[in-house]
Amino acid sequence: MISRRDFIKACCAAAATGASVPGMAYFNPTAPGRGVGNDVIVYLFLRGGIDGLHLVVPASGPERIAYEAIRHPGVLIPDTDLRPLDSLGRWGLHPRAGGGAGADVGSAPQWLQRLWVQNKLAIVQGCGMSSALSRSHFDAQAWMDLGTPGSKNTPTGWITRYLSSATGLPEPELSSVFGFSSTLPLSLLGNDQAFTVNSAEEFRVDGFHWSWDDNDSTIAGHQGAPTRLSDLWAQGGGLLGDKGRTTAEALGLMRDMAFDSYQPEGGAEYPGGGLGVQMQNLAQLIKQDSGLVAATLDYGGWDTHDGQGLPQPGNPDHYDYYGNRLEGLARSVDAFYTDLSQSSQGNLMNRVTVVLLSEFGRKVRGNQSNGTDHGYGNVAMALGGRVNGGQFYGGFPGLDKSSLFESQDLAVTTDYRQIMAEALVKRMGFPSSSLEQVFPGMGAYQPMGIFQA
Amino acid sequence: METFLGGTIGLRGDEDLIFNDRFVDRSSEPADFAWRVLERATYGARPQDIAAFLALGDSDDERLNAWLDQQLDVSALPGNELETRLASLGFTTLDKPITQLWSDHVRGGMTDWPQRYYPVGESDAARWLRAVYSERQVYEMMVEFWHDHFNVAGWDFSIAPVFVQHDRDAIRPEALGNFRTLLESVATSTAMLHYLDNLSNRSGGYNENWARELLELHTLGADVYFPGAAHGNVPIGEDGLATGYSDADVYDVARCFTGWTVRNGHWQFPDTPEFDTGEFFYYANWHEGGSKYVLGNWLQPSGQQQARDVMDLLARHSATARHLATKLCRRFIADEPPQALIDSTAAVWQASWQAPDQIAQVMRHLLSSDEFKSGQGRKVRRPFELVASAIRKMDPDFAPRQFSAWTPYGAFFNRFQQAGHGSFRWPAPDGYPDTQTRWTSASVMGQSWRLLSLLPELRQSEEGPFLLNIHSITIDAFPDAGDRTAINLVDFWSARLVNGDMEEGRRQVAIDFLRQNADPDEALDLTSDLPNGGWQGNDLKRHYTPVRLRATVSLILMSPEFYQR
Repeated sequence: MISRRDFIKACCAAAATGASVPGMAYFNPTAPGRGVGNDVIVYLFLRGGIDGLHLVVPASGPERIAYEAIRHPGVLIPDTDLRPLDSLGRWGLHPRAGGGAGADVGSAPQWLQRLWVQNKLAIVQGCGMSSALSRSHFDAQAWMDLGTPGSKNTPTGWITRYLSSATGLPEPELSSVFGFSSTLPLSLLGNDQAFTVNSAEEFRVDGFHWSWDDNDSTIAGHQGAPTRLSDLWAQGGGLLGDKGRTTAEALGLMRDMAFDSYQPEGGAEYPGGGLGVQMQNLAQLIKQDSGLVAATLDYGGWDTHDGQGLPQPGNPDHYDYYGNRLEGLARSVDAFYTDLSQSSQGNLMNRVTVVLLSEFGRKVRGNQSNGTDHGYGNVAMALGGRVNGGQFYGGFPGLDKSSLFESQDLAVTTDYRQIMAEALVKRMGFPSSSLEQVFPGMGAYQPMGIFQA
Repeated sequence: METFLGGTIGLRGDEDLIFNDRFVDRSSEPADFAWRVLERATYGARPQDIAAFLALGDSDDERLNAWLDQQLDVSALPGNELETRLASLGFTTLDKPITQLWSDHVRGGMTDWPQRYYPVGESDAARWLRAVYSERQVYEMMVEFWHDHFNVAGWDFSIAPVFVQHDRDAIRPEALGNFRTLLESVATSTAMLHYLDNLSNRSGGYNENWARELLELHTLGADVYFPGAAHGNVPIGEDGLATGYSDADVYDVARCFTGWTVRNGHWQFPDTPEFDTGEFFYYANWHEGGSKYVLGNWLQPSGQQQARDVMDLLARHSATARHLATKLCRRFIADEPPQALIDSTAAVWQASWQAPDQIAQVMRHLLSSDEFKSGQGRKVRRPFELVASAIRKMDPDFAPRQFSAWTPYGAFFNRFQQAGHGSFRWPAPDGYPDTQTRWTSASVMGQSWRLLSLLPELRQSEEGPFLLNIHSITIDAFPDAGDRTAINLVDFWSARLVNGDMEEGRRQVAIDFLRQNADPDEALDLTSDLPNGGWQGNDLKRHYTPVRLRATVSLILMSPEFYQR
């Protein structure tokens, strides 16, 4: 695919020689990209501390007995309300991860359950920060995003350090990394080139009055004000001049990508707003083959101190806060997987890896408000065409009192950095000998076999 | 206006200009000198500011000195317009003492959004008003500097409800005052005690977070950090102080600050209401007794006084002077300021460390230096300066509010935050960066332009008046409709926004957009009864012409000349 820079050059050359430029649609989502086809790592953070024990729930056996013994009834999911995960029936999935409120637990697996059944989704239990403890959202998120558990004053995020120490990254058309956020994600701290946008369609100079905000093809010669930005910055040297031209170019490129008229493939249906739109934008950027290497997304609302909610599978009118949140996540992720794996460019999920994490788990017992307070160990998930899914990793730390951390929280048996490290090594081709630069103090690299090399 | 006159310049040469080799205003015209000063020491030079500056004396230096006399003595400047506007907005939290912030916004069940965030949200709105309307411009620039220097994450759940105190009682009183005093007011700010965890720093349960950042970021600076836990690695200077600090200093400074905490109802405090007020207090039970060794000096056991002794050492230390002088020169002169100016500024800093107007003295030195007077075009405007300056220069009716039902400020704050510079939102303790690379990424520039494209379109209400008075300013400037040609209009706005210094090709882009199929010297109709001129078929010069004027002003705001100061 021709880059915008080349395209502009071609236009100028054509204008100079008087030749005409054939009309071309700049971005065609079904066309192959630039042929780079690099892998992409997606860091999806479940802000607020998701109750992992409400997502992946003991369904039978000793852990179920311990679960029923310790768990407050207001947050205890009956085993009959869980969707099955393993053949022994030991573990069940919150029903809304695999179907809508009106579906019963035996209905055909959708969303996260479907991906698990198809061995594309892996679950890591007892995940967290084994070397440091904080039950503060702010500290724990900062530690994880910065990749330095115990220190929130690190000047660079872990993704920043990954990108700066990796070699052979493709030349990006826009940026190697997109942070889908309204503020610079801490994982990208210290990265001057990171793109931070709440949604890609918002990266657009679109505030002018509608009459001059865009080209109007119904009026001969009408060109909106945004078309003047490139000319405005055409003159002038120095760093600012270069940066301004890059920005004008990027704005043009993003405008051409027409994020608002994107057609997902494979029948994928992204939920509207928030994460759904962001994941759709991300899928489009990946199809564009723009040299994007990493992306961060956030999906919050998990701080369920009060009224966490219990599912009632089969009852579409039942209100379940957690279930509703979870369905939003499950549908977004599923649409993303479908859109990319069914792309006419091929199964693009074979080069995309998504890791889902949260800052900490929640108290096992639950509280008097039918909610859960801040805890420690948690569930993490990995998703991708090259994920050895349908399996548990990390080892469940146990719910009996002697196994609990400080007698109240799920313990941490897996350092979350090991998951990221394995993804970097196996999927992104990052040398394991350089992991210390990304995760200083992590200790020895201990891959669990979650990802295929 | 041709302003390239050549001549010498105080900085190292044109190669450190951030933009191009033309944007160097070295004119000897008094108005251009005033422009250079006001553009870099304030949130934007308005016509009335230039006029007031020119009335202050008979030479550039005389006028600059007189202007600094005003700006550096805050009490001498009127606050009328600002105060009226602040009062008219009906803010409810800005005058609350910390105890009331605590009872109203932390306790009392106010755990929900947005009540808990009113204090930081109103501080944010007030910040914009002050930048746009305050006569105390240098002071407000310094408030911004200190907020970055003593950064806290204002929108954090724990900090948002007490942020008013940090801004009003810790930062603002000494923004042009004395650094040692400022340091202690920050050390006892409830927000800072939360942010860097000193509220839980106690004997046997140390938390070094505050101590480490106090040395590394707030005072001595990382340049004089000697890693390792041995005091002996750090040479002692002529003044009897260690020339830098080691981890051992950090640990001992942390021990000095044990017991500096907040009345937050901690279970170890007496279970009475006066221990849950949100105020700073020194809790002797948590203080670790004994001597400590800091910067090569033994500090005798003295309870709360011991941490004050630490702050005395830090405030008079030459490394602190260098660190702060460097940051101030970077803020007001250039990303890489000349060493000689840093040195002379540091000398003023250190010599006046006990003076109540220490910071004002330092600023007078800096702002009357040759480097300041001659240098321009070496700093990019960060998004706040960019947008505040745009608003300030357009005779605005600007009344920002947060958390209301619909107002134009919802979109304003949303877009501004996307530009990466939301007020009090920097998460790390080092504050928003102050070098060009951080503020020239495509993300920052694109989102800034996105806001600048919207700014002239924002109205007080649907179909209500605009926040910026582009239309009436233009009509007033060209009362004769025959003068309203694209050339005249662009030159007028270029003069007002960038001192007429638009590069010629760029000026032509703006003129061509504004005129469309009109001749450059053909008058445009700006007075149609419809606000936007109405539909005029394919006659583009009549197609929404007042709108096109606003868009043209936006394009000037999006030009490189406006992006730097």
